Amino acid sequence: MVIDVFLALGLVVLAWQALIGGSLFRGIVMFIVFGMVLTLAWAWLGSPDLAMAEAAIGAGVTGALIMIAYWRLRRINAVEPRDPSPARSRLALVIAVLATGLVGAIGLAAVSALTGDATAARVMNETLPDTGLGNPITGVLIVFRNLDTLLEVAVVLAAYIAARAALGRESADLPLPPAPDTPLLTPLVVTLAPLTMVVAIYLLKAGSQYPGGAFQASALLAALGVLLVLTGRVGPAAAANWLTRAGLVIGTLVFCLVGLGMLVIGAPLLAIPGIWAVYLIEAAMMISIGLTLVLLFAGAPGLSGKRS
Amino acid sequence: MNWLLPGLILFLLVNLLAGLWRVWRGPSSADRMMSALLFGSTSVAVLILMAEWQGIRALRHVALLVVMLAAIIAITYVGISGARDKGSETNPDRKAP
Amino acid sequence: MNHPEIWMLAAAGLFGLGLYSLIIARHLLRQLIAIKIMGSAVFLVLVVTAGLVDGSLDGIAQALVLTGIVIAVAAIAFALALVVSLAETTGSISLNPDDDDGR
Repeated sequence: MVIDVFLALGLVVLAWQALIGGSLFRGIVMFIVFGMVLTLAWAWLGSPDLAMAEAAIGAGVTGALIMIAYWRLRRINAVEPRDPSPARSRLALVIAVLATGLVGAIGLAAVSALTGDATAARVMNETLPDTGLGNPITGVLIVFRNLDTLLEVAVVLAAYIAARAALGRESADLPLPPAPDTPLLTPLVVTLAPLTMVVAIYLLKAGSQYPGGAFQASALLAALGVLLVLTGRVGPAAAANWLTRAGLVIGTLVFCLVGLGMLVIGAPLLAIPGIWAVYLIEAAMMISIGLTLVLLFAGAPGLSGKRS
Repeated sequence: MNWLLPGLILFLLVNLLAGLWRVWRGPSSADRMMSALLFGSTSVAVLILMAEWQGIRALRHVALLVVMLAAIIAITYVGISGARDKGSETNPDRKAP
Repeated sequence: MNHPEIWMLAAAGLFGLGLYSLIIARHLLRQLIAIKIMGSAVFLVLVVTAGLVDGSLDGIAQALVLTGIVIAVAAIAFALALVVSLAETTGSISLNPDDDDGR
């Protein structure tokens, strides 16, 4: 009870700090801390999968994306906006209070109406052992509702293409990498890179039976990619080579091929033939999403081994 | 003994609060970043304690992931905020000429 | 999960704070953070109201939210690219409020 209140209150205070008042940089750091506390909240509520996703994507990758955008805006030296007029904030207060009441009423009503009878989740829990999977979330994502997941991979790809189009030129600015002789940097990168790969692949493999899976693994890989880009181990390339292009689409492609292949052998569309297909699809998704997020961070069409 | 684990979790959460004060006060962005990183280490401890208290072993996997991320995020943020030396927090109200 | 009401109140507070900041903030980065926090509030509502099934959290709601988290990061990345592009083109990091007053 005390911990529930503490975490919930902490989230609200952090959101307030991130959103209202203070410098923007402080707001961004508060937002990253908000992501970490939300990770603890998911863990406390009993959802390790969401805790992992929130830590890796919510706090890690989103934080890095916002930070680099902040850096680019500083560099452009654009005009900082003026403060809003008081009339507008009074109106905003009314709207916000009404919205708070609405969300609270919906939430409390839904919570008090909890039945726990035969829901879709119970049916799913009963069917899950037939698939050979042990993690219900991977089951939903890859087997039961895999059309959603396929579209999600496509959305990530679409977001990348749209961001490329919005950029309007070859590649965005990146901070200069630190000098190669910076103490501790090289040993740290050399140790971290392979370790992160191992943990990512472990999470992918464990995801079939325990919490984890393609999304968490891909976010971890993306975080590693961001590190390599910033330290100058990997640099933006002027154009995408075939390997990059293949990596970007492999998730969507493999998913579609497996799904359509089922039609050929007479099974329903997007049926999953076995646990090997789950691993195959997840591995392809991990590569695609991880690479897409790194390219979105770098604002570049491709990556090269060395920074030019 | 029943109260040991939740007590420890609460104690660590209070520690987070102390770190939050540093993020709030600053004054330099390095101070804010350092205490945000402290959050990472404390979160790992909290996650491991929660794994024991709630009997959800998999929360240790979350702790493992946070350990990997904390190291990466540390270098990432130093890389970005270290590079913004000219427009740093010392003059947050800097406007375009 | 013994106290869902606490989490519902927190989600309501997060949503309200996010909406308030979305309306009054001028800086586009701040507005994006506000949208992200409103999204987190919705995720909390989704998972907590789905409740417990056979002693653990509803797997379908969790999978839905997991999908949502990944979509959110893709959308934020695209929005950030737009913000940077806008600032490069117009030299401003905010949208002019007079542009969308129904004219």
